[in-house]
Amino acid sequence: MFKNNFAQTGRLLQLNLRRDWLKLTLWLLGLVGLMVGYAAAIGTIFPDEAARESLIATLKTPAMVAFLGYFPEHVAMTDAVMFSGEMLVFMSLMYGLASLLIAISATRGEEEAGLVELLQAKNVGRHAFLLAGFWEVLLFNLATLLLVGGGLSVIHMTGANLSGDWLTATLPAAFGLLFGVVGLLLAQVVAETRSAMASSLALLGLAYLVRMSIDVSQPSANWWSPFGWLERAGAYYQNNWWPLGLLVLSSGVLFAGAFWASDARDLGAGLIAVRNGRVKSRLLRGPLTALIKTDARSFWSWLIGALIIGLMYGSIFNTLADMIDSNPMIKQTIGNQTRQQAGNQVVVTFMATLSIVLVTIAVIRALFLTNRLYGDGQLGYIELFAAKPIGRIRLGATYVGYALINGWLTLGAGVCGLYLGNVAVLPQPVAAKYFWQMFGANSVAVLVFVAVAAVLLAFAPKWRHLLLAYAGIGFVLMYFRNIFQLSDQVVKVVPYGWFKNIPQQPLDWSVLGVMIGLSVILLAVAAWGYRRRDQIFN
Amino acid sequence: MTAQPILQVKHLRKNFGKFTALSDVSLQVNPGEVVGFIGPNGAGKSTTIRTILGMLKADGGTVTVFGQDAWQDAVNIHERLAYVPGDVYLWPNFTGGQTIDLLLKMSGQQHTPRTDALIQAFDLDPAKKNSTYSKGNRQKVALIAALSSDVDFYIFDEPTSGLDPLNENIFQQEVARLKAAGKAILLSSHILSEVEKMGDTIAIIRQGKIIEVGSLTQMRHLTRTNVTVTTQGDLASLAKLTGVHNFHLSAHQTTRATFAVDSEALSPVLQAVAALTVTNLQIAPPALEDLFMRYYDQAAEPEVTGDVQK
Ligand SMILES: Nc1ncnc2c1ncn2[C@@H]1O[C@H](COP(=O)(O)OP(=O)(O)OP(=O)(O)O)[C@@H](O)[C@H]1O
Ligand SMILES: [Mg+2]
Repeated sequence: MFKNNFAQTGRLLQLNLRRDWLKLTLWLLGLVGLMVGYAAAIGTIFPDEAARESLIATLKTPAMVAFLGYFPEHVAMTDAVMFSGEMLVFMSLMYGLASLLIAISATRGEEEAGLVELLQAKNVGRHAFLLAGFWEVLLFNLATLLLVGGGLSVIHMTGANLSGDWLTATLPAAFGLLFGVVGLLLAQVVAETRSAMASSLALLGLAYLVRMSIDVSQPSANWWSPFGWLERAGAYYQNNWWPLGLLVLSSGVLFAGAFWASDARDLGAGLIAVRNGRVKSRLLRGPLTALIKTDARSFWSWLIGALIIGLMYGSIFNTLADMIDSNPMIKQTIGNQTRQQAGNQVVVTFMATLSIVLVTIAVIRALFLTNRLYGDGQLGYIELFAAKPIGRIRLGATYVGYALINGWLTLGAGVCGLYLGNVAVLPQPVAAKYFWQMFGANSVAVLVFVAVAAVLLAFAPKWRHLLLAYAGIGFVLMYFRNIFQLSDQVVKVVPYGWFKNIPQQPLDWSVLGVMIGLSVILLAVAAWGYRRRDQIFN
Repeated sequence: MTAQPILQVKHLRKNFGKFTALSDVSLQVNPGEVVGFIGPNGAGKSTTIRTILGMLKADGGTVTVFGQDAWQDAVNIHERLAYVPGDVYLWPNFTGGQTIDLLLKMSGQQHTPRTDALIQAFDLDPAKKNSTYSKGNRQKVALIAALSSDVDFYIFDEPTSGLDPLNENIFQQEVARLKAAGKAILLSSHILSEVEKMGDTIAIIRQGKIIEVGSLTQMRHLTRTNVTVTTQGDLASLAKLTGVHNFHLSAHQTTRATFAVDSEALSPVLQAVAALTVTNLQIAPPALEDLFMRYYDQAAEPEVTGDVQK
């Protein structure tokens, strides 16, 4: 029985590691680098007390709490406590992301590629792929645990203790394991890699959003989300280890579920059988409609996801405004009317920071879709289009145009959610014009990204993923520019760095005009390049 | 029909980086003609076809379809041709019926009663999702869409690799129908017997080079006849005759031998055999497979081309 189920797991694991080593190493370097690097730097970034005070004040604002997690009150703010407060939630999100991507490609991805079928006909156990995938995720997270734990104990931040160091290293690793197992489970339940990725990402996002909305309103209830468990541990000041137990326990339960699902399903299928459909479709008539139909589920998920994130942020606007209210000094010195205006001014400033969240979501959506021009070629769909009387330009424009419009729609949904939240919670909501400005400026940033992506696809499709990394870096730069005290010049390496104060300040049409012009030129160059290159099939 | 060929490929070259996938490919397809395009794996069949379809850009030579340049005028050309790729991958969440209609619409074609007849003939369930089809059924979807298009030129890349004999038969009938209607057809395959049933002309490609083009009868002429003979006299002298290949004398007796004879040399060789007083003679008819094998397996017999053309 054991042999039947697990034979050759070790060999598979070896193969997986050899194939994935680059991916694993890059993730490992990135994650460990951020953790240990920041821990090493934290003492020197904020040398004087004033800078620290302002940082701590920033970290306690709802924008930062929403993003990085709840910041403990009434606790001595040592470097160590600050580190865990800033890093745990955000880094765990990254660990979770890495782990679930690794887990899914090691299981469902292999199956889709036909490798499982090939090997299962040999004496490889029925569940060997699943177990090998689990080992891969486990080893990956163990490696981060050891490296980060070792690094932190060597660095020994001010106010650090050994228990806290290792707790801070272990929690994200256990969190990574948990979402790796979520990935394994969903890879068994649904029948396609794309859906497995989409559904586990959605769960990770949901956990994050739940924590976000709890943290800004009632942090004590945050155990509703696994992200909250990380905060409950109170690394460095309380050092609770029980959240770790909770993480490991739930991983175990979910892994058992994955086994059950793997046992219950057939090779190549999910738990949920694919039903027959209609013989005719009135929608389908060409590449655009085919794209719309294949993309339908993602379309709604992204739109609704962006709307919800906007709503969440919008619904904390009142806490921002309250800060003004609750300050007795301000309350005394200015009248009711002015106070509300001042409150709204704070909100508008906050919106400038928020834009980056919403535009990054939109940019990622648009980049995924632009890259489908390449992905669909690999999947063999483009070959079917290319044999039809459909020109290259039309085909490319269909994908790029659809990506652009979806980027804008996603951005629009986020801004719309923000506006609705704002209307719902503020007695005197912030005016719509600020939201229009926010949308207008950032939609140009989406355009720039899509244009650059199109150029990459035309000339160097191998590097198409670079832009996603660039978008990620841009996000960190913009969201944390106050914390890192980045200069205005540095943030200009990303398009939105050029209009970082929108909507506080009105649109600067000269900057936007240049960006639009540049994008149009890039798109033309991309069209020219795409027209004259070979179609890439695999 | 005009004398102008539907497809004209002249000295086509194609490189992928430093790798030369096609070094010299010339090919012609006329109206009402079925050209079988055969060659071993990796010979360059799909690459040639994709260049004809304007998906790949030629590095040398010319490719014209309907007298237009395959790369420059791809859109115009594609209005008048139908194509079934070697590996058919379809949008997983569409049904077969939806996919057929989509493929037809994109070519500016209609879903006609023929389409329904073909769905019936190939026994395809059009309500199933593409993701649940077997390889053969996916191929059927693409074939039905192509066969029910009313165009002038049909290109099939290994069309029957996933079909069972019954469906393969239906496909062959359909090709015969198209041929009778004066359409031009290019059909790639590595299975000769399949092309033999449908093709008028065969082009053999190997390592990116067309090494033989000709009609089936011409090709047969170039094949060898296998002979097994027992005589009263000593057969050893036969080995030296021109046109005799693979000569094997029986281990026990020098009066029994098997060998292959070039078609042109058949009569002098048989006369020499007759002189030795034949007691038993078996002659196997020339099989195209043999010819084909000789081209495929050139490492074993490097002089084949020279041999045949002599
Ligand atoms: N994009 C590419 N980059 C590099 N090499 C390629 C590319 N496409 C094809 N090749 C190579 O060109 C050669 C011809 O490939 P092609 O697909 O045309 O062969 P084929 O005759 O269709 O083979 P099969 O019978 O297996 O389908 C092969 O050696 C293949 O590896
Ligand atoms: Mg091929």
